[in-house]
Amino acid sequence: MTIRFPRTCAVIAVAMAAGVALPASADYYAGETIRIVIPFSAGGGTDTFGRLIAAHLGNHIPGNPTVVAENVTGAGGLLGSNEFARSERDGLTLLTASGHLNLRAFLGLEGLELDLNDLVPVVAAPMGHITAVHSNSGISDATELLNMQGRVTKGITDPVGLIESIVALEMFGIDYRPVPGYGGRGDTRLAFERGELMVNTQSTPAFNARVTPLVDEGTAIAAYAIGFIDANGNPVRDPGAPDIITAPELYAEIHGTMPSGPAWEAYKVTANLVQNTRGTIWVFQDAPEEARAALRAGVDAMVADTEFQAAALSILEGYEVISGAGLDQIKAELDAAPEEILDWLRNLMTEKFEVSFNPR
Amino acid sequence: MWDALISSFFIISDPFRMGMLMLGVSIGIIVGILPGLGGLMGMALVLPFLFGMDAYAGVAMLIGIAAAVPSSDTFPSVLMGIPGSSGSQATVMDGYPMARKGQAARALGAAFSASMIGGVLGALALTALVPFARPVVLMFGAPELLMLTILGLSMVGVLSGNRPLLGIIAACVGLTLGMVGGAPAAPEYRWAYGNVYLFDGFSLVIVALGLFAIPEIVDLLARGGSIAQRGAVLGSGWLDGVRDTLRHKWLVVRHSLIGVAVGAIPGMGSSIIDWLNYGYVVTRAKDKSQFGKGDVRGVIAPEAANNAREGGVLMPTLLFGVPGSSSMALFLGALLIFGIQPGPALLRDDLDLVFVIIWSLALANVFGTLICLALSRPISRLTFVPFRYIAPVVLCIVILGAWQETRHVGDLITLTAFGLLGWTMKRIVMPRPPLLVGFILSVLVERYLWMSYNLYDWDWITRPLVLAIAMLCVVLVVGGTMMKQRVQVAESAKEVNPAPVVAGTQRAQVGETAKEVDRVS
Repeated sequence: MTIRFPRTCAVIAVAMAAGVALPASADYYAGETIRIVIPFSAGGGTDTFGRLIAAHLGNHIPGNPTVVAENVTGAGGLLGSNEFARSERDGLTLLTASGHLNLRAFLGLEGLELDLNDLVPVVAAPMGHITAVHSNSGISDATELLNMQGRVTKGITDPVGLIESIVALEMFGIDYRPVPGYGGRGDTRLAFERGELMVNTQSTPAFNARVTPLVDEGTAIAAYAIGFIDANGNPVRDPGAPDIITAPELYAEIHGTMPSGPAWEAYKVTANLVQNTRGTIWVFQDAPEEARAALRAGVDAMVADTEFQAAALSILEGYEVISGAGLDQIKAELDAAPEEILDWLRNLMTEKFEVSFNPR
Repeated sequence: MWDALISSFFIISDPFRMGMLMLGVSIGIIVGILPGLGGLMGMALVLPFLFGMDAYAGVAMLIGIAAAVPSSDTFPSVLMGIPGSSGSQATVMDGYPMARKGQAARALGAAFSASMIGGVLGALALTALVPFARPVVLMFGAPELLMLTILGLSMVGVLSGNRPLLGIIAACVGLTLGMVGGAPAAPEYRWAYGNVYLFDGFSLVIVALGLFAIPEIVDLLARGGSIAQRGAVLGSGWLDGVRDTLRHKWLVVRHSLIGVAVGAIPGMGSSIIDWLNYGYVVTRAKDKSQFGKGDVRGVIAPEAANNAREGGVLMPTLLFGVPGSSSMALFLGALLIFGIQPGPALLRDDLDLVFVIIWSLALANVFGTLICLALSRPISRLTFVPFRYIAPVVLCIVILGAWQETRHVGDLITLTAFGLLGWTMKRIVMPRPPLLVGFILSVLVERYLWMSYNLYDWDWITRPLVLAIAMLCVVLVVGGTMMKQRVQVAESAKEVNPAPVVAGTQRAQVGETAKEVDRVS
């Protein structure tokens, strides 16, 4: 389903802005309307982030353009991102993507025309993930992770959408049974609570609100956080759950050494890409220089605005917006990701889950 | 708990919040009346305005929309034979024949009064059951959900009227069409041929509009005249309908409870609820002869259930943060805007909010149905206006309703294709509801079958609740068939005895209506 903001309102707003004060000619965006394409339906996490930015960004970009958010839904974000991929590269069309949509584009999922190499991030928001194990698996502590009994069921929604949790299981070498068909992470959590699924990964806020009670009553064990990776390749605790050990740390505790090999390399790529860009606004790299500069200046001013900070508090769920140098790091990590590791990820998805890719 | 119940009433009775609730109800009524638009659309419309709004006011507005839609979507279902939203598909079955007999106001009166009672019962059930709902919801694993979808499929026989074979064929066509698009348990696109539009499969809204709206519009135009047949009168109106509801009060209670129960189980999809209830009321009725021809019970049952449903779908939404329906998924997103994380902790820490939701639900149902009742007499006069004056507007609304799904040209092609299919089926007197039921359940049956197998191999078959639901399926299918045979025998016995002259003319009239109705169903 698609909702577009009434165009007429935008036009009226633009007309009013133009009538009240004639903006300086140097302002690239003066009197313009920026359209932010949200390829997901209204009300989801990505949509909420996109709308938060749409509501504030226009006030801070030089020239005060009107910013309009537009949901173009369908095919798991494919329709909207393809529409964006075909749009004019004038900096007037932006895309709000989720971390997993970014990863799909990065790996070159079949049917997706978006190429992350053509894009630069305007602003991003991170989100951590935490894996829990059901007590029916017979373990009582995360360090016994490799001794789980019975069928280690893992609920699968869209495999690429769960990639960070799958790569973690691969890194540990756990022999799990994928159970495909779940509608979303909420459904897998319910099945986990029911005892159907043995391992389950949730976003950190969802974990804190809904899985922690299960941990307290003894039905579940908080196994590990995916965590983040610093510039030197070392694990960093999830700021949303600093008390929970990260997967690489847990690996080191079980095996005595840090993980290594392609699974670990893939872990480093996916953990940051998926989690740092949980909500990302993208613009084309070959948009005019002054457009990109104006967007960047706008984001910097927006992030410093207390009004924005107050509005962002509940929506970012305990994380901070990434702007400035953090964005450069996201771009640098994308550029640095080794092609053989991406191939390893594609192979994992193809062999275990029959996902087809069409890498550029 | 009682403190929270009362304090939350004072929270909601704040004039601004009340105003927002009424605004939500008004929006819900409008999107409900427009075919193709539903609660999801209404909520999405107001979503941008929630940023920075008082949380209680925002929640009241959203619940107002969710609660009013299943009342007002009855208008197009009854008056034009076009499902107003996915929740009132089954109302078409008997509501529309009533309108054609000139009993539109009565059908609406019955529908709205049943909706009001159902909605309030739903809110009551939510109040009473929220503390106990968790174990019940957790009881329904993948195998149990699979059996529930099969239970839904076993209604196909009942929904096929006296053409079971054609009905089963239609259901199979529906099951097949439901498979188009992304497979539920594998990253694979079926029959999409690389066409991105087909990746999501066909939209239920468009399929329902195509199957029911287009054929009706075409045939009404071809026939000329108004929707109500010549000689029919508007009838003494909605009070008769209210009396019908009161006469069938236990039916209302029974189907409200079914609505709550099925709504409370996440993963069933709330669009099947009205069909389940319609099928069930037909199976249980002693005299089935008038179903599909304008039996008021066929209106009361799905309407009571679809309003009560909202009380049910809120249970998993609030308790687990798992949406019970697609509009509840949006509601969850809206709660996020207010910084509220639904889950067990919500009941402990923010009981006021939970009761504000419940109060909003109850009040919105009462206000919504009262407004609809007030509108029912003037609006039902539409059925007496020559249809050629209304048709362009209705057709535009139907096309827009389909077009807003993804705004892809595929929406229009799909609408046309299903319109043709629906019209053909209507011509060859093939029942269309089984197709819709098959279409809705197709993905669910496949998904839960794979999940059950992957989780338990074949051991799931012996789970007690699975066996219990399987028994229920058998009872419904066998019982329904046997009862139908008995009725048919009784009817043919009646045919043998020549009826008095007066009754004879009556029967001729009924016979004519029945023929018309056969074309509808």
